[in-house]
Amino acid sequence: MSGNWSRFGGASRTAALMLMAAVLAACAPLSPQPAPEPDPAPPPAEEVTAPASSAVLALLDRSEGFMAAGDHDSAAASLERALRLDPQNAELWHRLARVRFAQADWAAAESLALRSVGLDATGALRRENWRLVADARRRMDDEPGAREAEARLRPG
Amino acid sequence: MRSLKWIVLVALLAAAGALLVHVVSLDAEVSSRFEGKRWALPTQVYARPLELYVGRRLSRDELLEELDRLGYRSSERVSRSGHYQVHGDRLEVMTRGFDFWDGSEPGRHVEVAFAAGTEITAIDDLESGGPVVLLRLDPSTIGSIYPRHGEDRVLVRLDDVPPALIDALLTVEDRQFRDHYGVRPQSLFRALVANLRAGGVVQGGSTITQQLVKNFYLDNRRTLRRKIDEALMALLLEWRYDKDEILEAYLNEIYLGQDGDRAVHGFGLGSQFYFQRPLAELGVHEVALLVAIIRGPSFYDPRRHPERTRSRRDLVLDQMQQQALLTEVDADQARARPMGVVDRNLQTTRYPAFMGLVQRQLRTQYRPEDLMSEGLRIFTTVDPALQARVEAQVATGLEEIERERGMASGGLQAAAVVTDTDSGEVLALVGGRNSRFAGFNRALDAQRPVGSLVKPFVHLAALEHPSRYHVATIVEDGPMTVPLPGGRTWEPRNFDREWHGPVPMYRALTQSYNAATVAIGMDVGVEAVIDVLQRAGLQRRPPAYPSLLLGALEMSPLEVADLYQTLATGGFRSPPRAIREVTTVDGEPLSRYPLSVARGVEPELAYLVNRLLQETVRDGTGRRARGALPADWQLAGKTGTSDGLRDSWFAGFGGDRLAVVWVGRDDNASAQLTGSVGALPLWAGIMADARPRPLLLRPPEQVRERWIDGLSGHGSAQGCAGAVSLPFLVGTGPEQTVPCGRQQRIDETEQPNLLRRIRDWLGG
Repeated sequence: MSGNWSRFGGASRTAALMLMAAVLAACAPLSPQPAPEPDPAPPPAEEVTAPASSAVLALLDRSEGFMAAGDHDSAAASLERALRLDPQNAELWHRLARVRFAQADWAAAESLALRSVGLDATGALRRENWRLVADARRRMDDEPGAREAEARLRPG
Repeated sequence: MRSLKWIVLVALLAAAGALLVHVVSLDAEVSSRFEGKRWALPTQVYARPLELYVGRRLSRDELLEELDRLGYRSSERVSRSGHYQVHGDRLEVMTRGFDFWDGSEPGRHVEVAFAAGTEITAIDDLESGGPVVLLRLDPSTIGSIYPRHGEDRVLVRLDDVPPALIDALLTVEDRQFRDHYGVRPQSLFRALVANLRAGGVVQGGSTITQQLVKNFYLDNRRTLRRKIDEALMALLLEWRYDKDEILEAYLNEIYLGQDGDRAVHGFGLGSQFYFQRPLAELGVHEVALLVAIIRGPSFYDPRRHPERTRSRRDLVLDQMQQQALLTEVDADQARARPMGVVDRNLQTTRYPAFMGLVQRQLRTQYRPEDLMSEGLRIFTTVDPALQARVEAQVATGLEEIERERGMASGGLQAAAVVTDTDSGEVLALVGGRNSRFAGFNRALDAQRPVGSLVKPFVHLAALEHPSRYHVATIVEDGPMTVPLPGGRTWEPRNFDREWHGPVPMYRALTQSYNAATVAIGMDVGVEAVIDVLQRAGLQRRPPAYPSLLLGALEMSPLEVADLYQTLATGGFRSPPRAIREVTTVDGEPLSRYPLSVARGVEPELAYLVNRLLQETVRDGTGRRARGALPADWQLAGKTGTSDGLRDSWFAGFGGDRLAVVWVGRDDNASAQLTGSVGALPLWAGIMADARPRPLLLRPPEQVRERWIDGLSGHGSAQGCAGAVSLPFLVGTGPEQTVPCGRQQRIDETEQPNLLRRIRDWLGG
């Protein structure tokens, strides 16, 4: 049986080392985040927020430029490219939600804002996301859903 | 007398008229070739471009591998695009520019530095001296979609063609090209005399213009009438168009080789076909080879007849030297070079299974005739580096299983799908163990029972009733009789033929207990489970038979990826997609395939199930992957085994990569493999290669963590024997607690056996 797995051993050790390097390198979150409250025991997971690299920031700038010019499709394309670089970045998902909202794609705006909440359920971004969810739901005539989202706006 | 004169005159007039009509019709044909669309342009299909930026996890060797795939050449001095040089941990490269759908990427001369060979630490522009924030390489071509009669080409503009190619071409094929009117009267006359003598038609010295005209015809008949028509059309071409237009058309039209059912037309594709590089990057010895081939692409095939072709290439170089187009030194150097032709299999459609998915997704939006003629450019999601590794894992993984189990070699088949979880982009797709063979595409078309892969969705359906179910709810894993329509009954059994008694629900999933899962599923209803499956991405509504709860549900690996994708995103639907963008031949965006995210299942419930799927890999039916993969990746996944061990499945994911693997037999006989001995080792190998980010699940706001006694499912406390930490929706969870320390510390995996032993003693 061990023979079956031995061929993976070397690769996984290397991968583990590289992973440790990546975890050590990944610091400086986009916005300061308190660690999730350690209710009896959090899952054995460290919060790793990838640093907002200059590449991601450059793409964010580009997307803002397209937005200002009213080119929503290109703005979205830049954000998608940024998300491929940094998929755990809640800010990027939020921006993409805003682009979809501007395009009157309410359902996509709602889902993207909810994805953003799932990645960063703290602080100002959380509030902005729930506000966006509430607005999107209202545009879809989902008043109860909008109220539910607004209830999340209050600090719970 | 008079009437005879009239007859002759009328006859002459009629003949002249007929000739005029004929010339006019030839003229129309010539024009139609040139005005508007000159060629039916095949669709070009590209892999994902590689993005380079500081902080990217990429080793120097991985970048070299990509450059090699793109046909970049190592050279001592990097002075032209498509060349690179390695300086230890740094790599100097001149990239090719490329027009992407969202703007054009300039070619740059940069140096990329790597830390410990695993990560990019700096990218510097060697022209400006400044840092480069983000750089996109040109994408590799993975195939083209061309018409039935098989003409494939890559268009080139005259400005982009190396001057040496024009020199070589005109020297060898048509030295008076710049001066003649389309035909050379003396050679035409010679040909005519030769024809009369031979009593038939023999080849005459054709001009470039005549050769171009000849290529307009699909067949290759050599009648006198055809020869005359060709000469007439050549004259008409010259009358209507200037020399450069004719030359450019020739460069794109001329037939240069055959690749299976695909005819290689034009120097643009010819350069790719023989050298796997853009035409503009070729040296004089390489353009001389292309010119040498024109005379007879099958006779002078550098792969099949290297000596003969090489001596013709040298002849081309000799003639260039005689015409003072090459110095003696340059000509000698060129003659000393090998032909440098790449292996054929690098060029043919590389990933037939993935291309199948691309074509299927395109067909919903484009007509086949447009795909074959409009020169569309398709930007796909495939990652060639990962694709190659997954293909290798599937091939070697199956061989290992067959060897270890003493099976006949070659009897097993497999399919695999790897996606990027956040975007749903398909990174790799393998349709069988011989991935070069464009046969049955199992990843898309094999519909097989999924077995226990369905269980997470049964549990999710139960967790949708928080007043009845949480992850520690005690469920009975014991003998049961399920009534079926028609008065029949069904008695589900466990795989190990044993009953595990009352167990906390989470164990029913992590240990894949059948009876407990059926009990849960029958309680919430098969219809409710189907609802969950549909919200997760199942595109049809299967009949609500109880056997569905154990996976009597046929799906393709791609459909399974769709379902598990919804779990991997934390509850959102991001269906697998293979295409990012489609543009016109000029790079104008035609259709976008944007990142789509829709609500699927509740994020809180997806979180609960994902935690249990992590536990499944850590300590459940997926634990055989543990040794192969770093524990801190915290992968989540599930085995699946169908009745009679016909199908072996594993589906699972990390932080950003999802893989689904199926192993079985085409004849649907028993593969004698469970999910954990068939598909799981392949999956583990694929995941090790895919190097996902760790799966760091973020608890949603409505979820709290509690310590639970793993045996009884009652509340416990940290540090107590047998206590496990499990997630609960706020306001749910066990009410009772057990006193801490009453039990012996028990290895968790032993618990069910121990419980069973205790019950056996009590039961007598």
